[in-house]
Amino acid sequence: MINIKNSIYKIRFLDEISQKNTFIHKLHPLVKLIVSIFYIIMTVSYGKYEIFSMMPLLIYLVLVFNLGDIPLKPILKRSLIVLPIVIGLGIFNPILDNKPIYIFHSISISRGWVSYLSLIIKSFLSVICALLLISTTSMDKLAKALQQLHIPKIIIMQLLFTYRYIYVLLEEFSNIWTAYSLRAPNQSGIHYKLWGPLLGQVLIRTYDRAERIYSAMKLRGYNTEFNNTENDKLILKDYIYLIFWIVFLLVVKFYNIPVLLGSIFTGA
Amino acid sequence: MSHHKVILNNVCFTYPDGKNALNGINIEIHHGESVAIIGANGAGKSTLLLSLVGILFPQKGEIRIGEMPVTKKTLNIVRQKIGFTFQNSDEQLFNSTVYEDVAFGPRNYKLPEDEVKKRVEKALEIVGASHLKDRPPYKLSGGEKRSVSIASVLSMEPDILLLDEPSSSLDPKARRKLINLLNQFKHTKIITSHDLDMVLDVCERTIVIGNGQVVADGNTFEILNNGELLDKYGLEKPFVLQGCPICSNKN
Ligand SMILES: Nc1ncnc2c1ncn2[C@@H]1O[C@H](COP(=O)(O)OP(=O)(O)OP(=O)(O)O)[C@@H](O)[C@H]1O
Ligand SMILES: [Mg+2]
Repeated sequence: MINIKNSIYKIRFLDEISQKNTFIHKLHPLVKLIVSIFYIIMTVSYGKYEIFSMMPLLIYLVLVFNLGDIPLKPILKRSLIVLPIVIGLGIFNPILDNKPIYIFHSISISRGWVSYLSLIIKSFLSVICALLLISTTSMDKLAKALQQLHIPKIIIMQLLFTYRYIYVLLEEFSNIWTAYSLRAPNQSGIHYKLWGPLLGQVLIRTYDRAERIYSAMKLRGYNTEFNNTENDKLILKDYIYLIFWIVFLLVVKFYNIPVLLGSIFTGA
Repeated sequence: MSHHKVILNNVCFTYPDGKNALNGINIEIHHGESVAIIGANGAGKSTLLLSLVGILFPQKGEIRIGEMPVTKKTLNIVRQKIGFTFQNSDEQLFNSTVYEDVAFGPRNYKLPEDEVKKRVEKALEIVGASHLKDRPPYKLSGGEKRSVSIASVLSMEPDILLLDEPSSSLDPKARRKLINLLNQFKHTKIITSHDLDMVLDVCERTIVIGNGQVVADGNTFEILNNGELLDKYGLEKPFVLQGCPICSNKN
């Protein structure tokens, strides 16, 4: 009972930290969106067997974490959601691609393992980047930015409503759960025979409430436009941020910085 | 401004499951009137308000607001004039902060951001909720939610206020604030409530609903003094009229 209320608090957490007022939060949403998309594209475009050359990508994440005052642990925890998918996706790499690759004189591992690891790293970098985007930019502002990128309205609406109704669904669920456990104190969990009816209840109630909320929005003049947040004009700081990261990402992609640094320090 | 008349003409509404909630309602409300709609639980008060703003559409009869029939086509125009709060404030609040929620209406009407800010601050001030500005609405107490939901319609500066049980779950001070606020609001207001003492303070006219029909309509003081009528429709005289030596001394 406490747990499920807690998890709602936690889910809303991203929504809440997106309201902060730091340097990153105050940047123009459009700029943050473009940088994030570019970051993800660059990340996944790294070669199958590259690992160390991806390390500079971390710099971006670390900076956003710091400048945006985003707590590390909750974000990392959320990024674990993708772990099962990633592990599943790449599971055959080590078996199918078993040519050896030499990492240190005579120590070798199969190339499959390297590509597997590379895949996992790429996924995590991308997911954390996306999570950082929504924890530094509220959903309404993002929607507006998407609109500025000429993404079809219908898709943006879907996104916004899904995002909003997930909370409604969870809240209804937690209410029913609470009401149930209060009157069935000796049970752990819900009796399996009741799963069907209760689930039905949750859906109906969510649908009902979603409808009411939609009415409430309409009543206050909502007409499928996103006026709810004004996105301002881009200012100098935004352009600098945008250009800086695009240049940075291109540079680290086409020059293997760790190797370069290594060769500078070893004087080779 | 006679164009803010509210007219209901033989309005009938049946819920999809066959429940007849309104059975031929006839009401005419003039501009600037403050009207209380009272009646037992399930009498049809909320249903009535929901059809006034076009969330529900009556199967029979006609509703006009300011000479304009409430239909799907006219909804946008009609709703601009109306500030409506739900009986359950959770349904009213859906943004991530209180500020955003109160700003939602004004922004939809494309007001400049500094005007929006002014209105939000004013509305929150009026209901005494300025300190809640940055909180997420779902973390507020029931009464705080109520205050914020009222602020969220005040910020739209409506011509007609429709409030479904506005004083429920408010503490005495907040309730008093609400009463003062309603008394200062000079346009039309229609309020449903079980708080008959508030009704007595705020509304000069009262309509009693029973089983989806208007069973009495008239001066508030007279109706709330009619013990027999109230008793028949599941109500009770407000405390100040019960002849209680302590309360009635105040008047
Ligand atoms: N969504 C619905 N579907 C079917 N019947 C409904 C629905 N909502 C309300 N009703 C029924 O319609 C009747 C009128 O309900 P309404 O909500 O208007 O009552 P009310 O006068 O506002 O009561 P209360 O004082 O409890 O708020 C009730 O008998 C109720 O059971
Ligand atoms: Mg009601």
